Amino acid sequence: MISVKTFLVLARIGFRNIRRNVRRSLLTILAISFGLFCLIVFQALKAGLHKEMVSSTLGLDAGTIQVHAAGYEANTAVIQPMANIAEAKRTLATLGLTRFSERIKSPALLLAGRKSSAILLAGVLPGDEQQVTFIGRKMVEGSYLAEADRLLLGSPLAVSLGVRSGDEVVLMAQGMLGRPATRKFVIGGIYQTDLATFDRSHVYLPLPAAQHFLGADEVVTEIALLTEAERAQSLATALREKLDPGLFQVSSWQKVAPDLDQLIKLNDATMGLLVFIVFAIVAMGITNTMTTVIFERFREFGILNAIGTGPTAIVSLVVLESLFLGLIATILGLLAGIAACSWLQRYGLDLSSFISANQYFASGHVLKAHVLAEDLVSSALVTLATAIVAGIYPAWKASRMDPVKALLHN
Amino acid sequence: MALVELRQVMKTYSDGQSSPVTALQATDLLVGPGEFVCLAGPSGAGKTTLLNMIGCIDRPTSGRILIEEKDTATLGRGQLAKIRRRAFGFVFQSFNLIPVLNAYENVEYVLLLQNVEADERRQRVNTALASVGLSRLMDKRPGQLSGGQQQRVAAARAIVSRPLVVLADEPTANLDSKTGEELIDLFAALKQQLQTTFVFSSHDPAVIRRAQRILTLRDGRIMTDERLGG
Ligand SMILES: Nc1ncnc2c1ncn2[C@@H]1O[C@H](COP(=O)(O)OP(=O)(O)OP(=O)(O)O)[C@@H](O)[C@H]1O
Ligand SMILES: [Mg+2]
Repeated sequence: MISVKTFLVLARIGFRNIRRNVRRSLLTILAISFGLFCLIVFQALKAGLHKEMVSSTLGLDAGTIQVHAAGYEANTAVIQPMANIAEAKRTLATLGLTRFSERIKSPALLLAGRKSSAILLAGVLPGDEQQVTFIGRKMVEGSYLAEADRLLLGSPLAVSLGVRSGDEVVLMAQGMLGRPATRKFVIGGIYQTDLATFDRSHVYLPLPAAQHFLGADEVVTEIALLTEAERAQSLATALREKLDPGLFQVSSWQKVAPDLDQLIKLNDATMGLLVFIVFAIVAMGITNTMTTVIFERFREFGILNAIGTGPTAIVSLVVLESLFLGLIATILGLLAGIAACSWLQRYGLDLSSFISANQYFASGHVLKAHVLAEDLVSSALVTLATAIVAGIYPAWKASRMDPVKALLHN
Repeated sequence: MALVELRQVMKTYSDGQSSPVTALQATDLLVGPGEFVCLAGPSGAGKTTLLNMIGCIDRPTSGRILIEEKDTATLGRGQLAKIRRRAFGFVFQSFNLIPVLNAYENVEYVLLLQNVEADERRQRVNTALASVGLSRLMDKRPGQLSGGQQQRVAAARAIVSRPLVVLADEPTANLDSKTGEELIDLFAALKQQLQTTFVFSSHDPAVIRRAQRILTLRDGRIMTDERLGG
């Protein structure tokens, strides 16, 4: 082992050594900081993309957490009423969850003249629904559920049925208890999101009108909540613990939208691979520099060794020098990365030409960066660790150098 | 008591291709306290090899090296470095110093390796620099010093750790003859003042003449071992 005094003098020597070949040190530092810079920017863009995908996908309809009746199954024609809604709402309030929307949902058929289309009818309270989804901000015609019994439908559906705001259509459904329901409705508004498949199938009515039409007064089949996407899983767990499992079933968005979850995980894995490749290249750069350095200072290591600098101290010297390069590069890379990200956070990258044909996930066309503190910390630590690891081999080489050969080379 | 004892120490170098070179034939040698020894002999005679054996910089092919009667054969790299740190001071022919440290820091370095406390360190470094006459230049880096000044800094570094023996391989070879003779006179003065043993090598008759004991080597063998009075 080496003493603190020795360590400090080695650190002093190592730090000063960086200035001996300014050009080479700068090149190495720039290469490392460029690697870190790329990493920070890619990660922030990835986080921004995920945030955007999550909010634009979940903000369509699903929200981040859904509560249904126990034993609820998606994609069935049967209305599955929830019992004791009041208790559920009280529990949400105790957890401080205020952004939620209660709904009744049922498959239905929409007819206009001789054309018809299978749709999903959702009865919602307009004010509450706007806490969870952004459909209300996507109006192209008429108004958003302003009148008690007017329909709201998506633009592609209106086009294919040949109807407009103000026209009459017929809604048919299998109501509560299997009683068929048929009624004429006037179209009160037309919306359009980025996701045409969604717009073609989702039709809205104010909650009481929908309940009445389906012969299901007071019935609610779903409560959708909007929370921070990252906290959804833990909040869902907390909710599950408080709600009677015999009555309620709680799902977080990862379960409601498994494709999105998978895509995000795939992206994360790809990013991991990219990080590995970038840092493998950075590591080779540092190893190469430090190897050159120690061969140039062959004689100097001989002297250090001869005057009693042990192998541990020599290893420390070279690793410290590599660490200092890494440290300077980390500071530069962090500054540059944060600067670039704050620009990208404000203005974003316009990617419209690349993602126009995406039909699975709604997404904005401008990709904005989203910097996560933990990404910055982990990237910086990875950079420093790379610098240390990359210094170890040349350091070991230096500690094994033969002082006799070194001293003979005058 | 001998500070350094060589028993039948032999060194051959082989690079694996050409036939092995015997740089030092089986040699016995005792170096005692307060000696002022010069290794003389033509180029290739084995002076550097013998100094490297004495200073535990290199291991013998066969034979034993004892430092203060302790055998060094079984010691590892780290332990040998420790022996060098404690028992020897070194002055080499050139580029002795750490370029990024100034004169003061170069001398201080060996004391830091030995974990000497700050006050004592400062006092010893100042004394060492004063005794080689370089107090004025202690904040200069090696690149800002002349060859003779650099060698004097190396001498200060060699004595500051109070070693048993100062080893100097051709310390004057890169100096003009006047500066070289001054350096050896400085060694002699230090030896007198500190009672430290000096072993150095040289080709230069004016330098060799200043020694109290002259070992003349040829073909890896000590041919003569003369002790001069004084
Ligand atoms: N590392 C080595 N590898 C191979 N041969 C070596 C090595 N070191 C020394 N020799 C050989 O050993 C012999 C003695 O060398 P040494 O350096 O000890 O001589 P020297 O007296 O110091 O000579 P000089 O006055 O030129 O410095 C020479 O023949 C030299 O070529
Ligand atoms: Mg020699």
